[in-house]
Amino acid sequence: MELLFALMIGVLFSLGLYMMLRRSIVKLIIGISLIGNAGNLLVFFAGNMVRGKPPILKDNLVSDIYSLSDPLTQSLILTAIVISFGVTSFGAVLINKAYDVLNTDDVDTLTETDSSC
Amino acid sequence: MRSIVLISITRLMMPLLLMVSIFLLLRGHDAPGGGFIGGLMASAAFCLYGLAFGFQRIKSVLHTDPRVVLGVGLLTSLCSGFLAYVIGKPFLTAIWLDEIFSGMINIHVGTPLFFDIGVYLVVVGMVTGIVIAHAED
Amino acid sequence: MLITPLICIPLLGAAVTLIFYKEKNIQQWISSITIAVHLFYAFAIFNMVQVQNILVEYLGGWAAPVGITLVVDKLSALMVIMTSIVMLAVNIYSRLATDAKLESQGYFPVVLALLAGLSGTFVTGDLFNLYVWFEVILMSSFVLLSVKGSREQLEGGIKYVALNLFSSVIFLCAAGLIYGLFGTLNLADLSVKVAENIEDPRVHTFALMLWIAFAIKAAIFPFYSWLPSSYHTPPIAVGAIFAGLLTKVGIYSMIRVFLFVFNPLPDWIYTLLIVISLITMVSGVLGAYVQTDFRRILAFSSVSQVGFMMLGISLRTDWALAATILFIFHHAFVKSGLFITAGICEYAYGTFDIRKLGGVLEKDVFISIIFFMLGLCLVGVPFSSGFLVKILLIKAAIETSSWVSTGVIIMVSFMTLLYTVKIWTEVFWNALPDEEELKAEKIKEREMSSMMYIPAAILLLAGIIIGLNSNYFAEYGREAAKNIYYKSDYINSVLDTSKYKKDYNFLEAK
Repeated sequence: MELLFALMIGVLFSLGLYMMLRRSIVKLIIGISLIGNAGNLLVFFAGNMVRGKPPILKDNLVSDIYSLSDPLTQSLILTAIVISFGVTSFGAVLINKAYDVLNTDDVDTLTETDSSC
Repeated sequence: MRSIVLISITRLMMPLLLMVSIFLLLRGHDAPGGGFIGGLMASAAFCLYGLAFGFQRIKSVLHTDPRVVLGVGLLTSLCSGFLAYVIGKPFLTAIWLDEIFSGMINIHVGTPLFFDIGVYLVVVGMVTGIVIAHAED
Repeated sequence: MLITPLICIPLLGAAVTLIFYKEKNIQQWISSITIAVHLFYAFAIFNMVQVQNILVEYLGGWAAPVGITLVVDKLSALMVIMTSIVMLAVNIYSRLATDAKLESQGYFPVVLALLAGLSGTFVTGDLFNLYVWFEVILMSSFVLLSVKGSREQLEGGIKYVALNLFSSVIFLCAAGLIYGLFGTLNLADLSVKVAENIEDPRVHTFALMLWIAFAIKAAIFPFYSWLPSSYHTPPIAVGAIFAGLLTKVGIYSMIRVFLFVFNPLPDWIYTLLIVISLITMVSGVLGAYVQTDFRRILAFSSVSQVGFMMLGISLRTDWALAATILFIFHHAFVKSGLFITAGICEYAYGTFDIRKLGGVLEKDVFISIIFFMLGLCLVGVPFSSGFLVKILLIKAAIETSSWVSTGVIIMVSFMTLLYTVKIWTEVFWNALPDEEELKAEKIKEREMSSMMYIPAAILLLAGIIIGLNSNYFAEYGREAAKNIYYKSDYINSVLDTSKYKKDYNFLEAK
């Protein structure tokens, strides 16, 4: 199971990096959100991995730590998802504006602000 | 482009979606739900309204600018945190009404609810603001 | 003493300015008052830290390794004051050089959110919370960078967004993996657990992941390309904040996480870091020398100065760290002041291109004097703030017998002098050549109020105070550095429960 998830996270990371390295700005944002999702999953599975157990204790009945899933990683990725939601929606606004002004979707043509040397 | 089907459906769905969003908000603290999800639901409702009637009219449905909603939400969340100072506890400590007035009030209501309402408003203000900014271009 | 108001005061101000989004005057007043109150509170905290050394607050009443902890030690107190002073100066500047489009798009609330984010970063004692504050800073700076929507701003914005988001993801992954390994995110608790497993190669990997995330934010050698291509694009009221404060966040986090938590890493890592910081210093200074845009020179100069700070971190003595801390403090004032000077020149003469500026010394003596003094602080002439930090750094380099870095520090300081003199002669000293003079006359020189000198003068004054009280600041910096290297004070204050009240002296193996 862990191997499967590790592979999945790896595939997501490589897909995201591939998209980020393409020339289109839209693909850049897609790549960033793919990498963000891979990061979230990585954080999620970094805690202990148990199946079908609740993260919240009822009546303090707990025999061992493996009979519940880790609540902290869940709250961490909840925060991270909210943040990546905000960032991605901002990115969408940015590329929309950028396309209006720059009239291009090609990252390679964005050389105006680069230094001349 | 005005579609009569979309407009009629939106008229039906708007109250329903907003009600579900408030249900999610109130269900929040101990069960799945909460301010963020509720806020997203409500902003989905406003987006649907914008699709049907034009995005500039979202402001008239909100009765104010999204930025004000955002500001009020931020203020609500902060104030719910400050309430803990009043009873001499650290910032953001939860205060429950049924713990303070045990016996008199039996509803499990406290500052986390106000925090969630603040989050709800922040999300609604943020998402509708971004959507309107998108639509303006 | 409560720490949360440092974060809550600016957030409250942001909420109120959002509610009054139509009234520009009210927004201006609220933001000025908010920043002034924040500064006042930061000074109160600073005084408190002199007495108690370390202040701790547990949010929501959850005690240390479980909940979010806010901690202020001497380093954090200094950083918060620095943030507040720079913000105040830039706020005064933004009132005078009004920019209607910028302000109608929400400049004031976003700047206050940025202030909250910066304060949060400096006072948090939790790794994941640090990530959250980073994102708050990032979101605010995205908005500020691209809000005017001109061609070059959007270009610079895209570059800034792409690289900084990538660094956030690396930070998030590293934080998650560290949690998976140690089961804690509290910095004090983490430093205890890391010290027990410092030989583990996984720990080294995670530490380097964090270093890369911070290095992208701080614009260190292989990762700095986003800085010179985005910092000169926004309006000065934004650019001065960015140049003064944002790269410092990366350096601060490096001190807090890389030095405090992951301290004795294998030696080759520190050697590598010394090499990287020397390359950063040299390449930044060379970049600055060939530029002809006032702000681009200053942006490249930021890169080289960040190299100095990184060098102080990688030399790993307490004097070197003291030099880094004071370098952050002094550079924030000086660089923001220089940006504001550039803004005033542009406001009056309509261009940032130093080839088209000239003879400002005759036209405007005050701003020339302010630039001259700020330039001397940046270069590090004796009795200026730059002299103090550079002499401390050279002293630390000699003590660790790192002769190459001693040589590079001296060389780069002279080259800093070169590009400062280049600006001075081109903009202030030399008169314009005749044909350029004719062109310049067509640009109507704008009337500027003499109040515009005030923000630059405040920042200059801060630099001069550091230079004149060098004994006090050197001693303060050393104590702040000792809090980082000798962790037991911090750890004992944060994990102040009977269960954790152990003797942490074994950590002080340095």
